[in-house]
Amino acid sequence: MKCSFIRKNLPLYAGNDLNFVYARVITIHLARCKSCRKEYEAIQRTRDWAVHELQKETYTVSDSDLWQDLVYRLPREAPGYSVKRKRFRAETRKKLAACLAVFTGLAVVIFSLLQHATDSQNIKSGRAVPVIASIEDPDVTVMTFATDDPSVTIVWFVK
Amino acid sequence: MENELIKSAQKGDIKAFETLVRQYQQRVTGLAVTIVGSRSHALDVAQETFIRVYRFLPSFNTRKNFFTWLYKITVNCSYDFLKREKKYRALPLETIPPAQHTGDQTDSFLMAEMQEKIHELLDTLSVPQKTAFILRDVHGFSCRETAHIMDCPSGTVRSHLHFARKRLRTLVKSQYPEFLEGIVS
Repeated sequence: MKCSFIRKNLPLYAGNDLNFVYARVITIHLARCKSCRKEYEAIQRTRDWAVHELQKETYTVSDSDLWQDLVYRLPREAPGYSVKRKRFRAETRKKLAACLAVFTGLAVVIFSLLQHATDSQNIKSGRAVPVIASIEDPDVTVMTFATDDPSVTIVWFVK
Repeated sequence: MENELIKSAQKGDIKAFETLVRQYQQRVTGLAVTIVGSRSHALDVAQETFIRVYRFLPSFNTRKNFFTWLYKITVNCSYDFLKREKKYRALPLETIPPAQHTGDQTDSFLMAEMQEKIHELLDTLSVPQKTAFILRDVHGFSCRETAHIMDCPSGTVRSHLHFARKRLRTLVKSQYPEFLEGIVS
């Protein structure tokens, strides 16, 4: 095995982060190769030093009065209340949107029905005469047929 | 025991939550110090972390590891803090007061000096490299757990670890060669 390959994997080997096969290959190589062993020891010593110092620091952080400060910053409501409230608001918003859509649809239908009824009433009472057809093209023939209902006339356009 | 505490806290028991905070505050602050680089800022990050924990506690699945979840929130809060501060690098060393130590003053001074050196070296790493190194090597999480906390694949964590360890070794060799005396010629 080439030293370059071994050295490339030494940083992960030092932290035991390589798979078993690679680790075994490197262990065997390190037992034979002095320069790679030195490199490994340097990486290992640096890592151990940094870890040792940082662990000392991590565990000497005084706990101060974190809770004393924190207790005034905590939300007054129960844990997760804001999340539940958000979820509730989102659900309510969806329901409201659905209701609004249904009501709008119903309003449109009712309005058009009312409009139709008013028009029919006006025509029957003779207050309004609907425009049946208005064609200016001389090639178009307009044929009208009377029906039993005086308010209804059938109109055919033939070109 | 811890599960009972968490369940009580989920139901709104403030005493149980206080116990959880007291139990984990040192480790959370320690992790935040190493990521954000300043003790006073780390306390802010720790507070923010516990507020988020309080807020999202009911959504936590008690069958999962609380410690990993807490660390994930701490890392996210630290990243958010660094982004908010518009610097994705650790703060200058002057802002890091030495840790409180008991014992001899000379020892304390030497310890502070060593830690200053370590922070100087760590500041040259990128934030993800530093975080991966701290979580894996200092706090002893596995690669998979580190990946879960950092929200990235295990391969990426290994890559960060590889570069972090390699860079530390190179920096120690160039800046503090006396430290490696007897090993490297």
